[in-house]
Amino acid sequence: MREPRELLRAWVQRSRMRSPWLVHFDCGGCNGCDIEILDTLTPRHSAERFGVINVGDPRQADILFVTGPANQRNARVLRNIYDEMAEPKAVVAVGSCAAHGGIFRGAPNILGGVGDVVPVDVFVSGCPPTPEQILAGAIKAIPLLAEVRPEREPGGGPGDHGSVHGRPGGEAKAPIFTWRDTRTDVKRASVVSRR
Amino acid sequence: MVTSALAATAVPTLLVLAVTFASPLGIGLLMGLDRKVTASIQLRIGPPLLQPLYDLTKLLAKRANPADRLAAGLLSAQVVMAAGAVALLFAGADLVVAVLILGVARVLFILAAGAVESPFAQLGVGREIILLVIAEPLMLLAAVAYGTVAGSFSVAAIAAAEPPALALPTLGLTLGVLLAIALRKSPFDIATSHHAHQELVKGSTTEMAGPWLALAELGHWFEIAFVVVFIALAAARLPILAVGLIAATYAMTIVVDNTLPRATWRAALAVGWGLGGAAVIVALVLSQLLRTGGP
Repeated sequence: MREPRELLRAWVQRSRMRSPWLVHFDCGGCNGCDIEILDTLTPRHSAERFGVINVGDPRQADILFVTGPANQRNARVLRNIYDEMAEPKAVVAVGSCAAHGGIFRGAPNILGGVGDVVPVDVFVSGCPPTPEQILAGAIKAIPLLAEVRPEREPGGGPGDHGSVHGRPGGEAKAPIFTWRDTRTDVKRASVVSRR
Repeated sequence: MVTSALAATAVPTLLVLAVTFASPLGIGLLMGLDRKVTASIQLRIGPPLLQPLYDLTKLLAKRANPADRLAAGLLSAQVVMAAGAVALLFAGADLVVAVLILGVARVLFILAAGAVESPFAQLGVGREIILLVIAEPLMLLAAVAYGTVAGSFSVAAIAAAEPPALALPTLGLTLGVLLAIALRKSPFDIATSHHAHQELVKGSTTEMAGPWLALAELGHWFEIAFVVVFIALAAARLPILAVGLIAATYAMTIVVDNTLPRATWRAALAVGWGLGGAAVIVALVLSQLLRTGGP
Protein backbone atom coordinates (compact mmCIF):
# COMPACT_ATOMS: atom_id res chain seq x y z
CA MET A 1 0.00 0.00 0.00
CA ARG A 2 1.50 3.29 -1.10
CA GLU A 3 1.29 6.58 0.75
CA PRO A 4 -1.64 8.86 -0.17
CA ARG A 5 0.74 11.60 -1.35
CA GLU A 6 2.54 9.15 -3.60
CA LEU A 7 -0.78 7.88 -4.97
CA LEU A 8 -1.87 11.45 -5.72
CA ARG A 9 1.42 12.14 -7.48
CA ALA A 10 1.04 8.98 -9.56
CA TRP A 11 -2.55 9.97 -10.46
CA VAL A 12 -1.46 13.48 -11.50
CA GLN A 13 1.38 12.07 -13.63
CA ARG A 14 -0.96 9.58 -15.23
CA SER A 15 -3.50 12.33 -15.94
CA ARG A 16 -0.88 14.59 -17.49
CA MET A 17 0.31 11.81 -19.77
CA ARG A 18 -3.19 10.78 -20.80
CA SER A 19 -4.49 14.20 -21.71
CA PRO A 20 -2.17 15.81 -24.27
CA TRP A 21 -4.09 18.66 -25.88
CA LEU A 22 -2.60 19.96 -29.10
CA VAL A 23 -2.29 23.42 -30.53
CA HIS A 24 -1.08 23.71 -34.07
CA PHE A 25 0.85 26.65 -35.56
CA ASP A 26 1.94 26.97 -39.17
CA CYS A 27 5.01 29.18 -39.57
CA GLY A 28 4.44 29.45 -43.31
CA GLY A 29 5.37 26.26 -45.11
CA CYS A 30 3.46 24.89 -48.08
CA ASN A 31 0.54 23.63 -45.87
CA GLY A 32 1.35 19.99 -46.75
CA CYS A 33 2.23 19.18 -43.13
CA ASP A 34 -0.85 21.06 -41.89
CA ILE A 35 -3.10 18.93 -44.05
CA GLU A 36 -1.37 15.82 -42.70
CA ILE A 37 -1.85 17.06 -39.11
CA LEU A 38 -5.57 17.54 -39.77
CA ASP A 39 -5.62 14.05 -41.29
CA THR A 40 -3.98 12.74 -38.10
CA LEU A 41 -6.87 14.17 -36.08
CA THR A 42 -9.64 12.60 -38.18
CA PRO A 43 -11.57 9.54 -36.94
CA ARG A 44 -9.47 7.37 -39.27
CA HIS A 45 -6.39 7.67 -37.05
CA SER A 46 -8.41 8.08 -33.84
CA ALA A 47 -5.94 10.28 -31.96
CA GLU A 48 -8.51 10.67 -29.19
CA ARG A 49 -7.66 7.18 -27.89
CA PHE A 50 -4.49 8.79 -26.48
CA GLY A 51 -6.54 11.62 -24.99
CA VAL A 52 -5.48 13.95 -27.81
CA ILE A 53 -7.76 16.92 -28.42
CA ASN A 54 -7.03 19.68 -30.91
CA VAL A 55 -7.61 22.96 -29.07
CA GLY A 56 -7.63 26.37 -30.71
CA ASP A 57 -6.01 28.07 -27.76
CA PRO A 58 -2.32 27.93 -26.72
CA ARG A 59 -3.25 28.73 -23.11
CA GLN A 60 -5.08 25.42 -22.89
CA ALA A 61 -2.64 23.27 -24.86
CA ASP A 62 0.09 20.87 -23.72
CA ILE A 63 1.82 20.08 -27.00
CA LEU A 64 2.69 22.68 -29.65
CA PHE A 65 2.80 21.32 -33.20
CA VAL A 66 4.86 23.61 -35.44
CA THR A 67 5.10 23.30 -39.21
CA GLY A 68 7.03 25.40 -41.69
CA PRO A 69 10.30 27.33 -41.41
CA ALA A 70 10.90 30.06 -38.84
CA ASN A 71 11.04 33.43 -40.60
CA GLN A 72 11.51 37.12 -39.84
CA ARG A 73 7.78 37.82 -39.82
CA ASN A 74 6.53 35.17 -37.45
CA ALA A 75 9.40 34.18 -35.14
CA ARG A 76 7.98 36.58 -32.54
CA VAL A 77 4.46 35.14 -32.95
CA LEU A 78 5.79 31.59 -32.54
CA ARG A 79 7.71 32.56 -29.41
CA ASN A 80 4.60 34.29 -28.05
CA ILE A 81 2.47 31.18 -28.56
CA TYR A 82 5.12 29.08 -26.83
CA ASP A 83 5.30 31.49 -23.89
CA GLU A 84 1.50 31.54 -23.52
CA MET A 85 1.40 27.78 -22.98
CA ALA A 86 1.40 26.64 -19.35
CA GLU A 87 3.97 24.17 -18.02
CA PRO A 88 4.27 21.21 -18.38
CA LYS A 89 4.47 21.59 -22.17
CA ALA A 90 6.33 20.13 -25.13
CA VAL A 91 7.07 21.19 -28.71
CA VAL A 92 6.91 18.89 -31.74
CA ALA A 93 8.41 20.21 -34.99
CA VAL A 94 6.59 18.56 -37.89
CA GLY A 95 8.24 18.22 -41.29
CA SER A 96 11.52 19.10 -42.98
CA CYS A 97 10.89 22.88 -42.98
CA ALA A 98 10.31 22.99 -39.23
CA ALA A 99 13.49 20.96 -38.70
CA HIS A 100 15.92 23.09 -40.73
CA GLY A 101 14.07 25.34 -43.16
CA GLY A 102 13.46 22.68 -45.80
CA ILE A 103 13.21 23.91 -49.38
CA PHE A 104 12.98 27.49 -48.09
CA ARG A 105 16.38 27.25 -46.38
CA GLY A 106 18.73 30.02 -47.52
CA ALA A 107 15.95 32.39 -48.62
CA PRO A 108 16.53 35.94 -47.30
CA ASN A 109 13.46 36.01 -45.04
CA ILE A 110 14.05 32.56 -43.52
CA LEU A 111 15.74 32.18 -40.13
CA GLY A 112 15.92 28.38 -40.36
CA GLY A 113 14.20 25.64 -38.38
CA VAL A 114 11.83 26.45 -35.54
CA GLY A 115 14.42 25.01 -33.14
CA ASP A 116 16.16 28.40 -33.38
CA VAL A 117 13.14 30.15 -31.87
CA VAL A 118 11.60 27.70 -29.39
CA PRO A 119 13.04 24.63 -27.63
CA VAL A 120 11.91 21.68 -29.74
CA ASP A 121 11.55 18.31 -28.01
CA VAL A 122 10.67 16.04 -30.92
CA PHE A 123 11.42 16.35 -34.62
CA VAL A 124 9.16 14.48 -37.04
CA SER A 125 10.88 14.15 -40.40
CA GLY A 126 9.24 13.96 -43.79
CA CYS A 127 7.96 16.26 -46.51
CA PRO A 128 5.26 15.88 -45.47
CA PRO A 129 5.34 13.22 -42.73
CA THR A 130 2.55 10.64 -42.76
CA PRO A 131 -0.23 10.87 -40.14
CA GLU A 132 1.24 7.76 -38.47
CA GLN A 133 4.60 9.52 -38.09
CA ILE A 134 2.95 12.66 -36.72
CA LEU A 135 0.96 10.64 -34.18
CA ALA A 136 4.17 8.83 -33.22
CA GLY A 137 5.78 12.25 -32.70
CA ALA A 138 2.98 13.29 -30.33
CA ILE A 139 3.28 10.01 -28.43
CA LYS A 140 7.05 10.49 -28.16
CA ALA A 141 6.42 13.89 -26.52
CA ILE A 142 3.90 12.54 -23.99
CA PRO A 143 6.42 11.32 -21.31
CA LEU A 144 7.89 14.85 -21.27
CA LEU A 145 4.58 16.13 -19.88
CA ALA A 146 4.71 13.99 -16.72
CA GLU A 147 6.55 16.60 -14.65
CA VAL A 148 7.10 20.36 -14.79
CA ARG A 149 10.52 20.81 -16.41
CA PRO A 150 12.94 23.68 -15.85
CA GLU A 151 12.91 26.47 -18.46
CA ARG A 152 14.57 25.44 -21.70
CA GLU A 153 16.54 27.39 -24.31
CA PRO A 154 16.05 26.97 -28.07
CA GLY A 155 18.36 24.09 -29.00
CA GLY A 156 18.55 24.38 -32.81
CA GLY A 157 17.69 21.73 -35.36
CA PRO A 158 17.80 17.95 -35.08
CA GLY A 159 21.25 16.81 -33.87
CA ASP A 160 23.53 16.04 -36.79
CA HIS A 161 22.36 18.89 -39.01
CA GLY A 162 22.62 21.77 -36.57
CA SER A 163 20.98 25.10 -37.22
CA VAL A 164 21.17 27.35 -40.24
CA HIS A 165 22.93 30.18 -38.45
CA GLY A 166 25.64 28.01 -37.02
CA ARG A 167 24.21 28.13 -33.52
CA PRO A 168 24.70 24.50 -32.55
CA GLY A 169 22.93 25.17 -29.21
CA GLY A 170 22.45 22.37 -26.69
CA GLU A 171 22.80 18.66 -26.91
CA ALA A 172 22.05 16.76 -30.08
CA LYS A 173 18.55 15.38 -30.25
CA ALA A 174 17.89 12.11 -32.01
CA PRO A 175 15.09 12.46 -34.55
CA ILE A 176 12.39 9.85 -34.07
CA PHE A 177 12.73 8.69 -37.65
CA THR A 178 15.95 8.73 -39.61
CA TRP A 179 16.19 12.02 -41.37
CA ARG A 180 16.53 11.65 -45.11
CA ASP A 181 16.97 13.86 -48.08
CA THR A 182 13.79 15.80 -48.74
CA ARG A 183 13.30 14.23 -52.15
CA THR A 184 13.50 10.70 -50.73
CA ASP A 185 10.90 11.72 -48.17
CA VAL A 186 8.54 12.87 -50.90
CA LYS A 187 8.93 9.56 -52.68
CA ARG A 188 8.41 7.54 -49.52
CA ALA A 189 5.35 9.55 -48.51
CA SER A 190 3.77 9.01 -51.89
CA VAL A 191 4.36 5.27 -51.61
CA VAL A 192 2.80 5.15 -48.17
CA SER A 193 -0.25 7.14 -49.20
CA ARG A 194 -0.98 4.75 -52.10
CA ARG A 195 -2.37 2.07 -49.81
CA MET B 1 -30.98 14.36 23.96
CA VAL B 2 -28.91 17.16 22.47
CA THR B 3 -26.49 14.75 20.86
CA SER B 4 -29.27 12.66 19.34
CA ALA B 5 -30.94 15.81 17.96
CA LEU B 6 -27.60 16.92 16.58
CA ALA B 7 -27.07 13.50 15.03
CA ALA B 8 -30.57 13.62 13.54
CA THR B 9 -29.72 16.81 11.62
CA ALA B 10 -25.98 16.22 11.12
CA VAL B 11 -26.22 12.81 9.49
CA PRO B 12 -28.61 13.81 6.67
CA THR B 13 -26.65 17.04 6.12
CA LEU B 14 -23.37 15.16 5.82
CA LEU B 15 -25.04 12.68 3.49
CA VAL B 16 -26.31 15.49 1.25
CA LEU B 17 -22.83 17.08 1.19
CA ALA B 18 -21.18 13.72 0.42
CA VAL B 19 -23.57 13.01 -2.47
CA THR B 20 -23.11 16.56 -3.77
CA PHE B 21 -19.31 16.32 -3.76
CA ALA B 22 -19.44 12.86 -5.33
CA SER B 23 -21.75 14.01 -8.15
CA PRO B 24 -18.98 15.49 -10.36
CA LEU B 25 -17.20 12.10 -10.28
CA GLY B 26 -20.36 10.44 -11.55
CA ILE B 27 -20.77 13.10 -14.24
CA GLY B 28 -17.10 12.62 -15.24
CA LEU B 29 -17.75 8.91 -15.79
CA LEU B 30 -20.99 9.67 -17.64
CA MET B 31 -19.12 12.02 -19.99
CA GLY B 32 -16.39 9.40 -20.48
CA LEU B 33 -19.12 6.95 -21.50
CA ASP B 34 -20.58 9.63 -23.77
CA ARG B 35 -17.21 10.05 -25.52
CA LYS B 36 -16.90 6.26 -25.89
CA VAL B 37 -20.38 6.02 -27.46
CA THR B 38 -19.73 8.99 -29.77
CA ALA B 39 -16.42 7.39 -30.80
CA SER B 40 -18.10 4.10 -31.60
CA ILE B 41 -20.69 5.93 -33.74
CA GLN B 42 -17.72 7.37 -35.69
CA LEU B 43 -16.07 3.91 -35.82
CA ARG B 44 -13.22 4.98 -33.51
CA ILE B 45 -11.86 3.34 -30.38
CA GLY B 46 -12.30 6.50 -28.37
CA PRO B 47 -10.59 7.69 -25.18
CA PRO B 48 -10.48 5.72 -21.93
CA LEU B 49 -13.60 5.88 -19.74
CA LEU B 50 -11.74 8.00 -17.17
CA GLN B 51 -10.68 10.58 -19.80
CA PRO B 52 -12.74 13.52 -18.41
CA LEU B 53 -11.24 12.91 -14.95
CA TYR B 54 -7.71 12.77 -16.45
CA ASP B 55 -8.41 16.06 -18.25
CA LEU B 56 -9.70 17.74 -15.08
CA THR B 57 -6.72 16.55 -12.97
CA LYS B 58 -4.26 17.66 -15.62
CA LEU B 59 -5.83 21.11 -15.81
CA LEU B 60 -5.75 21.45 -12.02
CA ALA B 61 -2.04 20.51 -12.02
CA LYS B 62 -1.02 22.98 -14.74
CA ARG B 63 1.11 26.02 -13.89
CA ALA B 64 -1.08 28.79 -15.21
CA ASN B 65 -1.97 32.28 -14.07
CA PRO B 66 -5.50 33.63 -14.41
CA ALA B 67 -5.93 36.10 -17.26
CA ASP B 68 -7.96 38.29 -14.91
CA ARG B 69 -8.31 38.32 -11.11
CA LEU B 70 -12.00 39.18 -11.21
CA ALA B 71 -12.60 36.26 -13.56
CA ALA B 72 -10.74 33.93 -11.16
CA GLY B 73 -12.96 34.96 -8.25
CA LEU B 74 -16.14 34.67 -10.31
CA LEU B 75 -15.13 31.21 -11.54
CA SER B 76 -14.66 29.99 -7.97
CA ALA B 77 -18.01 31.53 -7.00
CA GLN B 78 -19.88 29.83 -9.84
CA VAL B 79 -18.61 26.41 -8.71
CA VAL B 80 -19.88 27.09 -5.17
CA MET B 81 -23.26 28.27 -6.48
CA ALA B 82 -23.70 25.32 -8.84
CA ALA B 83 -22.70 22.87 -6.08
CA GLY B 84 -25.19 24.64 -3.79
CA ALA B 85 -27.98 24.20 -6.34
CA VAL B 86 -27.22 20.45 -6.57
CA ALA B 87 -27.10 20.20 -2.76
CA LEU B 88 -30.55 21.86 -2.53
CA LEU B 89 -31.96 19.17 -4.84
CA PHE B 90 -30.46 16.35 -2.77
CA ALA B 91 -31.68 18.01 0.44
CA GLY B 92 -35.26 17.96 -0.90
CA ALA B 93 -35.61 21.76 -0.78
CA ASP B 94 -37.66 24.07 -3.02
CA LEU B 95 -37.20 23.20 -6.69
CA VAL B 96 -37.79 26.73 -8.02
CA VAL B 97 -35.16 28.16 -5.65
CA ALA B 98 -32.68 25.49 -6.76
CA VAL B 99 -33.33 26.31 -10.46
CA LEU B 100 -32.83 30.03 -9.81
CA ILE B 101 -29.59 29.40 -7.89
CA LEU B 102 -28.29 27.35 -10.81
CA GLY B 103 -29.20 30.34 -12.97
CA VAL B 104 -27.09 32.55 -10.69
CA ALA B 105 -24.15 30.15 -11.13
CA ARG B 106 -24.47 30.42 -14.90
CA VAL B 107 -24.66 34.21 -14.75
CA LEU B 108 -21.46 34.22 -12.64
CA PHE B 109 -19.78 32.08 -15.31
CA ILE B 110 -20.94 34.51 -18.01
CA LEU B 111 -19.50 37.44 -15.99
CA ALA B 112 -16.21 35.53 -15.59
CA ALA B 113 -16.01 34.88 -19.32
CA GLY B 114 -16.86 38.51 -20.08
CA ALA B 115 -14.28 39.93 -17.63
CA VAL B 116 -11.58 39.75 -20.32
CA GLU B 117 -11.53 41.83 -23.47
CA SER B 118 -10.76 39.01 -25.89
CA PRO B 119 -13.19 39.29 -28.84
CA PHE B 120 -13.69 35.51 -28.89
CA ALA B 121 -14.57 35.49 -25.20
CA GLN B 122 -17.03 38.33 -25.80
CA LEU B 123 -18.61 36.45 -28.70
CA GLY B 124 -18.85 33.38 -26.43
CA VAL B 125 -20.52 35.48 -23.73
CA GLY B 126 -23.24 36.61 -26.14
CA ARG B 127 -23.90 33.00 -27.00
CA GLU B 128 -23.88 31.83 -23.39
CA ILE B 129 -26.60 34.43 -22.80
CA ILE B 130 -28.63 33.00 -25.72
CA LEU B 131 -28.31 29.54 -24.11
CA LEU B 132 -29.35 30.94 -20.73
CA VAL B 133 -32.36 32.64 -22.32
CA ILE B 134 -33.38 29.28 -23.82
CA ALA B 135 -32.63 27.06 -20.81
CA GLU B 136 -33.72 29.08 -17.80
CA PRO B 137 -37.40 29.67 -18.74
CA LEU B 138 -37.72 26.09 -20.01
CA MET B 139 -36.40 24.73 -16.73
CA LEU B 140 -38.66 27.01 -14.67
CA LEU B 141 -41.72 26.00 -16.74
CA ALA B 142 -40.79 22.33 -16.34
CA ALA B 143 -40.46 22.92 -12.57
CA VAL B 144 -43.93 24.50 -12.57
CA ALA B 145 -45.26 21.43 -14.42
CA TYR B 146 -43.66 19.14 -11.79
CA GLY B 147 -45.14 21.30 -9.04
CA THR B 148 -48.64 21.20 -10.53
CA VAL B 149 -48.58 17.40 -10.65
CA ALA B 150 -47.19 17.04 -7.13
CA GLY B 151 -49.16 19.88 -5.55
CA SER B 152 -45.95 21.33 -4.11
CA PHE B 153 -42.62 22.73 -5.29
CA SER B 154 -40.70 20.84 -2.62
CA VAL B 155 -38.29 18.37 -4.22
CA ALA B 156 -39.15 15.82 -1.52
CA ALA B 157 -42.89 16.10 -2.34
CA ILE B 158 -42.27 15.86 -6.10
CA ALA B 159 -40.11 12.77 -5.59
CA ALA B 160 -42.91 11.14 -3.55
CA ALA B 161 -45.74 12.14 -5.91
CA GLU B 162 -47.02 10.52 -9.09
CA PRO B 163 -44.16 10.65 -11.68
CA PRO B 164 -44.64 13.84 -13.78
CA ALA B 165 -43.08 12.00 -16.76
CA LEU B 166 -46.07 9.61 -16.78
CA ALA B 167 -48.71 12.27 -16.11
CA LEU B 168 -47.28 14.69 -18.72
CA PRO B 169 -45.41 12.64 -21.36
CA THR B 170 -44.43 15.64 -23.54
CA LEU B 171 -42.09 16.78 -20.74
CA GLY B 172 -39.58 14.20 -22.06
CA LEU B 173 -38.78 16.41 -25.07
CA THR B 174 -38.21 19.46 -22.90
CA LEU B 175 -35.95 17.46 -20.60
CA GLY B 176 -33.98 16.26 -23.64
CA VAL B 177 -33.48 19.86 -24.78
CA LEU B 178 -32.42 20.88 -21.25
CA LEU B 179 -29.87 18.02 -21.12
CA ALA B 180 -28.51 18.94 -24.56
CA ILE B 181 -28.06 22.54 -23.38
CA ALA B 182 -26.37 21.43 -20.15
CA LEU B 183 -23.99 19.20 -22.11
CA ARG B 184 -23.48 21.96 -24.71
CA LYS B 185 -24.18 19.47 -27.45
CA SER B 186 -25.09 20.45 -30.99
CA PRO B 187 -27.08 22.62 -31.74
CA PHE B 188 -26.32 24.13 -28.32
CA ASP B 189 -22.50 24.03 -28.67
CA ILE B 190 -22.46 27.59 -29.95
CA ALA B 191 -20.59 29.23 -27.06
CA THR B 192 -17.58 26.94 -26.63
CA SER B 193 -16.64 23.32 -27.15
CA HIS B 194 -13.86 20.77 -26.93
CA HIS B 195 -14.41 19.79 -30.52
CA ALA B 196 -13.47 21.47 -33.76
CA HIS B 197 -16.58 20.66 -35.76
CA GLN B 198 -18.70 23.70 -35.04
CA GLU B 199 -18.96 27.35 -35.85
CA LEU B 200 -16.98 28.77 -32.93
CA VAL B 201 -14.28 26.47 -31.54
CA LYS B 202 -13.39 28.47 -28.46
CA GLY B 203 -15.65 31.19 -27.16
CA SER B 204 -16.42 31.80 -23.52
CA THR B 205 -13.45 29.76 -22.24
CA THR B 206 -10.86 31.39 -24.57
CA GLU B 207 -8.88 33.14 -21.83
CA MET B 208 -9.20 30.41 -19.20
CA ALA B 209 -6.18 28.17 -18.67
CA GLY B 210 -5.06 25.42 -16.31
CA PRO B 211 -6.81 25.43 -12.92
CA TRP B 212 -9.15 28.23 -13.98
CA LEU B 213 -10.41 26.22 -16.92
CA ALA B 214 -10.74 23.29 -14.49
CA LEU B 215 -13.01 25.45 -12.28
CA ALA B 216 -15.14 26.34 -15.30
CA GLU B 217 -15.32 22.63 -16.16
CA LEU B 218 -16.22 21.68 -12.57
CA GLY B 219 -19.04 24.24 -12.47
CA HIS B 220 -20.23 22.83 -15.78
CA TRP B 221 -20.22 19.29 -14.34
CA PHE B 222 -22.33 20.45 -11.39
CA GLU B 223 -24.73 22.00 -13.89
CA ILE B 224 -24.97 18.67 -15.74
CA ALA B 225 -25.45 16.87 -12.41
CA PHE B 226 -28.30 19.28 -11.62
CA VAL B 227 -30.02 18.62 -14.94
CA VAL B 228 -29.57 14.83 -14.62
CA VAL B 229 -31.15 14.89 -11.14
CA PHE B 230 -33.87 17.21 -12.50
CA ILE B 231 -34.66 14.61 -15.16
CA ALA B 232 -34.60 11.78 -12.62
CA LEU B 233 -37.10 13.80 -10.55
CA ALA B 234 -39.65 13.39 -13.35
CA ALA B 235 -39.92 9.73 -12.32
CA ALA B 236 -38.30 9.56 -8.89
CA ARG B 237 -40.84 7.06 -7.52
CA LEU B 238 -40.01 4.55 -10.27
CA PRO B 239 -36.18 4.26 -10.36
CA ILE B 240 -36.24 2.07 -13.49
CA LEU B 241 -38.27 4.70 -15.34
CA ALA B 242 -35.95 7.45 -14.04
CA VAL B 243 -32.84 5.65 -15.32
CA GLY B 244 -34.65 4.88 -18.59
CA LEU B 245 -35.61 8.55 -18.96
CA ILE B 246 -31.99 9.68 -18.42
CA ALA B 247 -30.74 7.05 -20.89
CA ALA B 248 -33.39 7.99 -23.48
CA THR B 249 -32.76 11.75 -23.26
CA TYR B 250 -28.98 11.18 -23.31
CA ALA B 251 -29.24 8.91 -26.36
CA MET B 252 -31.37 11.57 -28.05
CA THR B 253 -28.72 14.26 -27.42
CA ILE B 254 -25.89 12.02 -28.70
CA VAL B 255 -27.77 11.23 -31.92
CA VAL B 256 -28.69 14.89 -32.47
CA ASP B 257 -25.10 15.93 -31.69
CA ASN B 258 -23.72 13.58 -34.32
CA THR B 259 -26.25 14.51 -36.99
CA LEU B 260 -26.27 18.30 -36.57
CA PRO B 261 -22.70 19.54 -36.83
CA ARG B 262 -22.10 23.23 -37.50
CA ALA B 263 -25.49 24.32 -36.27
CA THR B 264 -25.83 28.05 -35.64
CA TRP B 265 -27.42 29.98 -32.78
CA ARG B 266 -30.60 30.31 -34.85
CA ALA B 267 -30.88 26.51 -34.89
CA ALA B 268 -30.32 26.52 -31.12
CA LEU B 269 -33.15 29.00 -30.66
CA ALA B 270 -35.46 27.13 -33.05
CA VAL B 271 -34.84 23.71 -31.49
CA GLY B 272 -34.78 25.06 -27.93
CA TRP B 273 -37.96 27.08 -28.02
CA GLY B 274 -39.69 25.32 -30.92
CA LEU B 275 -39.30 21.80 -29.59
CA GLY B 276 -38.60 22.17 -25.87
CA GLY B 277 -40.86 25.20 -25.41
CA ALA B 278 -43.83 23.72 -27.30
CA ALA B 279 -43.50 20.45 -25.36
CA VAL B 280 -43.44 22.14 -21.95
CA ILE B 281 -46.40 24.39 -22.82
CA VAL B 282 -48.45 21.36 -23.89
CA ALA B 283 -47.42 19.71 -20.61
CA LEU B 284 -48.51 22.78 -18.61
CA VAL B 285 -51.91 22.90 -20.34
CA LEU B 286 -52.36 19.17 -19.70
CA SER B 287 -51.38 19.58 -16.07
CA GLN B 288 -53.99 22.33 -15.63
CA LEU B 289 -56.66 20.08 -17.21
CA LEU B 290 -55.69 17.12 -15.03
CA ARG B 291 -54.98 19.02 -11.84
CA THR B 292 -56.53 17.68 -8.66
CA GLY B 293 -55.33 20.45 -6.38
CA GLY B 294 -51.95 22.15 -6.09
CA PRO B 295 -50.05 25.30 -5.49
